[in-house]
Amino acid sequence: MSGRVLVARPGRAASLALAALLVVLASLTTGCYSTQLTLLRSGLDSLRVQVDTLTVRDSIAYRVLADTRTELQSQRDLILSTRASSGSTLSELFDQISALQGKLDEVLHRFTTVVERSGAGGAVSAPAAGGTAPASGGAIVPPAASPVGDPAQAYDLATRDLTEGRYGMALGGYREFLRRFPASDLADNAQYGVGECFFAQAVFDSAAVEYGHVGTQWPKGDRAAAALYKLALCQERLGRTVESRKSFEELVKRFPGSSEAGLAKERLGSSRQ
Amino acid sequence: MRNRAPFVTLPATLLVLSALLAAALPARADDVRLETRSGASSRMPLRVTSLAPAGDRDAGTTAVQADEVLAADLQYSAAFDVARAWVASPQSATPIAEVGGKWTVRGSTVRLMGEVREYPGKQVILAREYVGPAAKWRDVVHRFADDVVLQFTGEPGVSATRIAFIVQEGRTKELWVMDSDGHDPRPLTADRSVAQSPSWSPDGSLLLFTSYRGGGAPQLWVLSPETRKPFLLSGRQGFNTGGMYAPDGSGLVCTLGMDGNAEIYRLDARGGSPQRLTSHRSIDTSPCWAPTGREIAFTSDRSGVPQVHVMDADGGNVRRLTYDVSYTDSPAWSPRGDRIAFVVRTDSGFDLWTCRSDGSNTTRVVAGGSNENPRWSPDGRHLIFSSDRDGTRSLWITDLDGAAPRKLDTGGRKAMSPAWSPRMGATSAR
Repeated sequence: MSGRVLVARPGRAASLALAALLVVLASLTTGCYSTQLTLLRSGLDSLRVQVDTLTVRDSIAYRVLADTRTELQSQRDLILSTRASSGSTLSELFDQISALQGKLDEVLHRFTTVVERSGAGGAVSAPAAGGTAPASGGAIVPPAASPVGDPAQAYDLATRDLTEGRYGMALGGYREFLRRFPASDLADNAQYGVGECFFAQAVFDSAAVEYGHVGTQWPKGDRAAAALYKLALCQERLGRTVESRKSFEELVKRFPGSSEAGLAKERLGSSRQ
Repeated sequence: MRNRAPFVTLPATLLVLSALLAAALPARADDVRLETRSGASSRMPLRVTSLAPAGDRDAGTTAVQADEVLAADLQYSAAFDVARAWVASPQSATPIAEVGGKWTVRGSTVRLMGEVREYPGKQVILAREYVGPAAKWRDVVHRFADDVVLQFTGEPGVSATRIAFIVQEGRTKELWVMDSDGHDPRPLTADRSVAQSPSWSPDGSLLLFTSYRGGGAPQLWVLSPETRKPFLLSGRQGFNTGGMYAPDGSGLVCTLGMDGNAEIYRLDARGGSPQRLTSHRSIDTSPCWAPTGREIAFTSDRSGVPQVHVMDADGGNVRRLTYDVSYTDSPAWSPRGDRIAFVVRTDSGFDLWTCRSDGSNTTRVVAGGSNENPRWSPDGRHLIFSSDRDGTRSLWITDLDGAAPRKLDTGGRKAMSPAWSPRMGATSAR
């Protein structure tokens, strides 16, 4: 009888132990799950916060970007406006300079006319020769004077011959003018006219010599740039291309603001092609 | 150093004397200076008698018409004060000569035996025969009239010339041509576009003009008045305007905008090889050759407002033409080379002025209304221009002698931008 009792005692204990273990395990397992869930929830919350943070930051960044873009746009507009304004101002300045130059020419012309009229005795306004035309525009014609003693008249006579194609007479007139009035302020014009007489008749070697004299004798005269340009053209037509090129380059260098310089640049540009 | 000196007037020379001298000398006489002024002259009294009709029965009819054409040609020459023998009016002065002749029509041929007799001695000064198709009998009369002018002035008249002009109808402007007395106006283009600024070639065989017929931008075209078929001469990028042939026909000048700014260029006769003549940021337009081909007048606003300037034919040596007047445009150089015509802006439009080729002696020649596009006749005695002086834009001619301008009959059409042809062919008989 004692044997069965002994067997029965360990089985009950095991069951109890197993139950206790289960209880313990169950209790342990329940606590672990709870912790894991808490941790998980916490992680999700953290992620959500991060996402929210990123969203906010993104929106801030977007706003900043938009602001920056707007600012850049306004800066660009400002720069463009400034540039346009500067260009416009520069353009206006150029125009004003041109207009002033025109006015200056007018004033100089009138001053010269007055000086010459007073020098000729102050007589005013001879009617135009054969002038039956109505309602004259008020041009004041200096009184007739002897071509022998009047440099302006002698010069104009030669110039008229040149313009109307009487090149031989024009040449004689200019030569005589230079002989008689070498110190006149029209002397460089007359020398240029001598060159023109030859150039018009396609005598380019003689023309080149005469244009060259303008540059050497009146290097700062108002015909200097034109004479240098014509000298270069003469050299070009004589086939002296290297000399011609040098003359054009000298023209651009010495008289950069002249209209002849622009033409010289064109010539130099086209000769390179 | 200065740009220009004022010009002192030369003593005036009698036109007849100088012209007779001119007749005896080569055209470019280099040893004698002649004072042949454009337009300024006193008219010689001349009597025109009726042409005696002969031949077919209708010869009398055309003879009467030929009388009038002859008298009008001589009167329009500005060399004569003409008295018509068939009109009962007192002769203002004793005529220096009588002009008349015999008018024979046989079939399709007309024959004019023209005579000029000195007065009162009646000695024959000129006797010459002119023959032509009856359909073109007016040309026969014109040739005789031009020879009469040659006889007395040393330079032929301009009756046998033509005038090209622009007719505006609504929004279109077409190129037309007519005889210099306004007879037989006829269209040369029918593009339904805008044509502008006609200009004749030196031999009168071609007309250069600006047209929008090729598209949206103005281009330079050329046509023969006989074939009426236009050819494109310059259709470069931008605008191509205001062409004028060089006096020797070797090329032309025009305004091109291919570099972004209006600049004056020289092209060869086919429209190629552009050579830039102006180099300035201002607007340069309306180029016009001097008859020698040595200089070019043009309009530029480089001094603030548009002003006529002159430069050498290769560009360079630019100088302003006038200082006495402001806002000048449309230069036209006299075929004699002595004067340049241009327009000056006024409150109501433009007046016509002329000056010597050096810019001196500026003189207003036409005022009243708005007068534009002056162009010289080939003898330099007349200026043709467009004007609205009678309310309608039409063509007028001034003889530059103080007489009132006369209107050309263009059939009531709105006419503008005239161009006087050079003399066509010989004026000799037969």
